[in-house]
Amino acid sequence: MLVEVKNLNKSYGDLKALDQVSFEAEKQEIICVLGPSGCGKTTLLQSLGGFVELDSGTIMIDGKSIEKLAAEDRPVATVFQSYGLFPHMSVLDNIIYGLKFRNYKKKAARQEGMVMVRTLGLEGHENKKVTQLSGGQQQRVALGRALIVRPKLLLLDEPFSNLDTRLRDSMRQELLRIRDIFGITMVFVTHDQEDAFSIADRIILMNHGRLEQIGGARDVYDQPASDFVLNFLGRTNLSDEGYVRPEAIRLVRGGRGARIVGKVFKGFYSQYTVEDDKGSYQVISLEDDFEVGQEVGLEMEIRSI
Amino acid sequence: MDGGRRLLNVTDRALRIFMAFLVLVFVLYPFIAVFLKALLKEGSFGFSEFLFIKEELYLLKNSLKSSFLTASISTIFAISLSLMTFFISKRQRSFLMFVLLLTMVSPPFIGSLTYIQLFGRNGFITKTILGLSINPYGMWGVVSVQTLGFTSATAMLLITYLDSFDGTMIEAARSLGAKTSSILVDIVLPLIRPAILVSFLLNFIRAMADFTSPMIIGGAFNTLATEGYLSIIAKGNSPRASAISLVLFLPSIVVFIIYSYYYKQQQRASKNLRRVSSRMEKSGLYYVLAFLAGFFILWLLIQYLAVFSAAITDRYQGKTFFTLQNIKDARPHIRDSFVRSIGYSLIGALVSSLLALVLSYYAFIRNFKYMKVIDFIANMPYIVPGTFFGLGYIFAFNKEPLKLTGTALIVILNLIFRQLPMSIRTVQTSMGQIEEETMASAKDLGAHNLYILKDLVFPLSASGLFLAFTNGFISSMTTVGSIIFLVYPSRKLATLVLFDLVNSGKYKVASVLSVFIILICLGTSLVSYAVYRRGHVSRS
Ligand SMILES: Nc1ncnc2c1ncn2[C@@H]1O[C@H](COP(=O)(O)OP(=O)(O)OP(=O)(O)O)[C@@H](O)[C@H]1O
Ligand SMILES: [Mg+2]
Repeated sequence: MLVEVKNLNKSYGDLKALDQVSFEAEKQEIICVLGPSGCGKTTLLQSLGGFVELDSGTIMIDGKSIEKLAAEDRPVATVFQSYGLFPHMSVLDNIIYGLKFRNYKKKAARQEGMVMVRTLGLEGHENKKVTQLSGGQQQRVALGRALIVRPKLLLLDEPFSNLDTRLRDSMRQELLRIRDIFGITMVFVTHDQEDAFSIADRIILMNHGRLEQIGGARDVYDQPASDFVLNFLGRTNLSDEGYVRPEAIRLVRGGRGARIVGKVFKGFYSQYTVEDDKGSYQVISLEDDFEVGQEVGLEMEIRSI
Repeated sequence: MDGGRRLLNVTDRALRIFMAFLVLVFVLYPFIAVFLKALLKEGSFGFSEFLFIKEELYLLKNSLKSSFLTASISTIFAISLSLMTFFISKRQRSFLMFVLLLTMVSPPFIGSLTYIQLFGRNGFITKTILGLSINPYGMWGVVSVQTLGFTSATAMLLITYLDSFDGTMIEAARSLGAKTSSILVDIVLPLIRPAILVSFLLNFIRAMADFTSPMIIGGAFNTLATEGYLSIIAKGNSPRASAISLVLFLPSIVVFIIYSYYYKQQQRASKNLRRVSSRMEKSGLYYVLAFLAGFFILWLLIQYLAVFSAAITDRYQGKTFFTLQNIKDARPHIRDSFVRSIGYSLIGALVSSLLALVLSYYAFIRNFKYMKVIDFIANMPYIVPGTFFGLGYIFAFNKEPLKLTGTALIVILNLIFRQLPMSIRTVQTSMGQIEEETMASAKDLGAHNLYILKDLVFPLSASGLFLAFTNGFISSMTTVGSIIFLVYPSRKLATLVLFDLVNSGKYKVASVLSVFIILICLGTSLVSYAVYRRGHVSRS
């Protein structure tokens, strides 16, 4: 394992921001950390980066423990949510800043920097001030600046939260491409489920500083380990016997036993409210021609945690 | 209903015009008066008064040289002190702020007073400890005293600037492998360069305008400022004093323009920043900063220790002993002057914060164009030398219809308008936080503009007003330059009595007065800080 994190603890007064957090990551793996606001995602990332002093726990990278090292001495680089670009430097100077501490000659650094500029599709912008760039371009600079120092582990804290939906999508693809080019391991914090589902090899779900579940996207969605995970990922119909996801219920035309009581057209799908003698359900269906008042049958498999 | 509305409109208009009138008469007119005095001779314009620059070139040279040294050294100390905030704990930060506050609430020549007591011919350090008898009077004395006096204010300014610094940049640099020295040199210093420049310039003009330090410890070292002061006091030559004031005033215009420019920029930059309190490893340059900051703080503390102990001790036959005699001796000097000082300062601070509110309201919420011009004029006294503003009052108000010289009113007016720029800044900061929607909805509900001022703007700016009032009080209590020519000899204020005492060598009694002024101002600011914090906490 490239990264081994064991029993991290961090408290702020009475508040446990990290509570016995442990996980591992393989080389080239992308791990997404998902959870509600205030659950400790940033704290986790900052403790890996060396900006938060841990109460206890160990962090190993490549078999060496790094939790005692200062931030600047760790083989880890961070892309921050607000980027933290240096506004008084050009794009290229931002990108090559880290090489200064790796014994590069200025000329070699600039050459290396230009390779990064091209890799990230920033040609033509290298001499601009970073303040003249768009949000997406700034994001790329922040990424390039972190990647150029060849960290073993790249940390990203909600890197796409300032971007609009379309840009997010292309940046996700960009990130996957970068992972393949540089063969880098990433821990990626987000509270956008879609980020996690589209790029993560594995997802960590956090709540109140605890790690609730870790696993592939399918695993955590289909086999949630706790009520929290179940409710946090997607919508759910709960009953005494268990739960069923809205898209796992099939409406049967000409069937009996249930009645449509509400319908919302959502574009490429429709969302129905259906009642039977046991209760009411939210149902998501690609078919949009059921009408309110219509009697239908329900097919579903109730699961339990 | 209609009639009531009309009355409100008339009142609104009258208030506006009255505000503009006050600023024109009590700020602009005195400025013009100084110009006229210096340039106008027997009815015609001329620059003959400025010949002193050539004839007594050494004055200008002395001023430039010592001010440049003071500005450089105190800026270096201020940078070190402010950068220390990246390394120290919350507790240590409070202590630092307290020490800086100490100098802000002290009368300006406390430095000279202790300098003589510590390093003078019979100084405690030079004579008693080291057994030397050196002549402490001269340029370096002036520079060291000014440095000690000016550094705190600029350090505060830099700390405020650093507080709006995006800490993510520091964390980003660290995550790329940058050590403390590199972060400071590559990131922090370049980004605070504007603030450093402003600090340097502010210190420079303060040093140029300071006449008290060279008067007390300059010895044979004369500057433009001392010459200007003596021209009035000793020679009664007001055209010459005006000409000197103008020369001192010119650089401050440049500073004012630069300052306003960066002030706006800084406000814009710090708008959307999330404060990340980032820290750096203690290594490399940190040790240089810590040494400079530590040295400065030690020096400052020694100074205050010296004043306080001088106030309650005396020496007889080489022995130092505790005594209350100094305090008894000080009584006749304190009685009237302190009551007067406190009274004037209270009135001045109160009126100036209220004027700042009304002015800002018309200029920036109601957006009257001509009120913006008035706002600009009202801001002019901000960086002009105090003596310049004081001279303006003498020349402007020594004849009918506004014959005010010799009255208490002229002193109070001078304090009010000298203080107005600072009050405007403070009030505007808190006024800027009132949302436009709030006022729009009040209007929607039918509130007249005057009611918006009274019911919304006034209460919502309360914290700013309060702060402006406190600051106004403290700086009025400690001011010297602007009022020294205005005060009637038998009705002196505390700082002026103190100045006389220092000048006539009564250092013990002067120490007692200094301690009293410090305690009053320190008490005021600590109490008001506590009240302010309370108000903030209970609201949020
Ligand atoms: N320096 C600090 N002092 C005190 N409490 C803190 C500090 N930093 C974080 N916390 C608390 O620790 C908890 C976890 O914070 P953290 O920033 O890690 O949350 P997060 O999951 O990143 O939230 P978000 O999604 O809103 O960014 C929060 O309750 C926060 O208030
Ligand atoms: Mg966060």
